[in-house]
Amino acid sequence: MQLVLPPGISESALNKALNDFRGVVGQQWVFASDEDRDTYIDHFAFDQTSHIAAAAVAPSSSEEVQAIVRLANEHKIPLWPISRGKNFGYGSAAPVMSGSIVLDMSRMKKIQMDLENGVVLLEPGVGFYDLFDYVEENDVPFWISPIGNSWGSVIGNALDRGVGYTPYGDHAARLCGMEVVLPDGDLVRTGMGAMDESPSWNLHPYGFGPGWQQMFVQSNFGIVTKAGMWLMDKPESIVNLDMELDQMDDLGWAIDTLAPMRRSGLLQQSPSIGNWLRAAAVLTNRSDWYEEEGALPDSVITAIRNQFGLGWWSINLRLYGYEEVTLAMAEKVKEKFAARTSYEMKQGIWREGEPREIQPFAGVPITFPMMNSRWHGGRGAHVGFSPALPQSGDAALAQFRRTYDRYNEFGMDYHGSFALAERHITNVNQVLFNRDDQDMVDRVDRFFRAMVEDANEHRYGEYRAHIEYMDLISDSYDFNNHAQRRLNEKVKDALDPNGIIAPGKSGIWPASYRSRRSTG
Amino acid sequence: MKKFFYCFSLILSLVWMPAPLMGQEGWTSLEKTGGENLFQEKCGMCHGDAMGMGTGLLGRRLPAEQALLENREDLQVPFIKNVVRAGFGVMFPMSRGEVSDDQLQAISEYLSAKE
Repeated sequence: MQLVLPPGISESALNKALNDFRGVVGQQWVFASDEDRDTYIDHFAFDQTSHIAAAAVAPSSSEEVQAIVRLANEHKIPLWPISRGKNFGYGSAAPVMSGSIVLDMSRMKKIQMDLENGVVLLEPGVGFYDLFDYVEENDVPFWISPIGNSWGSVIGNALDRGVGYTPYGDHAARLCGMEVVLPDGDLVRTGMGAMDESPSWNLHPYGFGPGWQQMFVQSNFGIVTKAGMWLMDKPESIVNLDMELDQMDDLGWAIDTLAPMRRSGLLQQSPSIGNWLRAAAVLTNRSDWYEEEGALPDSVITAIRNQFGLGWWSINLRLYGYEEVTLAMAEKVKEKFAARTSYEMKQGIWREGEPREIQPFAGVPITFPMMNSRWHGGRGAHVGFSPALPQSGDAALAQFRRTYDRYNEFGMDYHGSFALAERHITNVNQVLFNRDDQDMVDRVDRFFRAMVEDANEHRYGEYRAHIEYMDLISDSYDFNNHAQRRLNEKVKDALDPNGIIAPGKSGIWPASYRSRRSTG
Repeated sequence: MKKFFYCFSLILSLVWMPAPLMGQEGWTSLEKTGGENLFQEKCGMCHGDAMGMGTGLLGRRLPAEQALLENREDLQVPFIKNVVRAGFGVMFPMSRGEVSDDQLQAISEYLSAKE
């Protein structure tokens, strides 16, 4: 990729900054060739030329991050921090603003394990597989909470409010204590970490006074260089309850059945109700079923369902803990479902010592689900659209109907799920497309914007956004004429007057680049 | 499709490399060394066993035994380096921050030495 300079920065000024960065991290850890720039693109992007890093610098410690941040202030060079850069479907390693320098923390791969408390203190470069391997090799009596596509950083995922499938699946909520490099190069620790040498840094979530931890989640107010993450105790058993729902409209009562169980804690993890394409797109190509354009017709959907024994929707529940308890919980769950449906609920049990499911449910990281990116053929890709809505069957069904109509209108194959948290549902749409099909790429962009508009009309906001759409989504958070944006940007300007940390992240633009906002 | 299911039916155990619980000042680095260990660390999530995305996708167009990179006898160093840096289909490109040139050389030599 050809060099794209940071706005208002000459090539010689950039080179001076890069030379200073080399003085901090060493010659070999600053990357500025055309090939290097290509490795930091969003390889799933519609247009890979719209979010281009000018270069990258890879520090090995918090101290080096501090030094780079101070130099970036001197040179007025914008940085785009990444942990491992595997935020696929949301922008990967690429910056919102072209010309930013990627601050790549992949090399920062150290951990401290607290075996007494089930807590691990992590650097950003530690991925789910790294941590899983460590836990298994050392017979650590705790499980990690992996995500559906587990390449990424444990911290990075939590900082983008990613979710997993175990009872510890709300990853941002399991963070406890951070170390953060502020935009002026200062170093702070949140919560009890504010007390030097506190043994409770990663145990007590708040400390004394205001709790700043959430301020560094999905934000550009600092660079998190360490964070504590709580791990779940290895369960003695896991009971699985799986049900196939035959009709589209079954979604509504299923949500209403699950919601009270989730709220009360009978269900400890967030169940997800997903449609037939979830399995089919991983296991097959679309051309195995249908060669025509447009959304798959009902006859093909029926053939897919018959082949894999799937309902229109599938529910997969997991209950964790002592066997006497999980079996008793399973009876209660089955009783609640039996009051609503005659569909069969299949039950199984895993006991400690038996081979585990190769699934995030069982604390095991996986990558095979992203085989679905090849569904359409070509260089496959996906983009995520995930609004949050109230925990109501009627609301979920209406959202599904609206979205399904949009999929059909734009000739896309429906790929959606509804995940139940304690008080809300996240409607995850993983929109699969072929980057080599320009017509499809154009349609996906228009389709995405239409879905955002529909959700916005019903006042459903996305919980997370692709770098291309951060301004669009930020614009929908509009109470009191975008009061939250004004607050964010007041804080941004106070902490980061030169606007060097991740301009445009989550729609937060520093004064120096604010004119670059694409909407609002 | 048959090939794919065959491929998925293989459950190969990963090579665990024990690491010390605590290092200097309580920190343990999870960086590995040596071609085989680096292959597991950097590539293993997709290509380390039958369940990885890379193995699964390669299994759709290659005989099952060749879908696992460690079974291949035809991989050459320049080809491996090019695929890693440029990406390939769904596979993402890998930066020098994630896999250094030295690490990539070691991984490439490990894979290309298979006979």
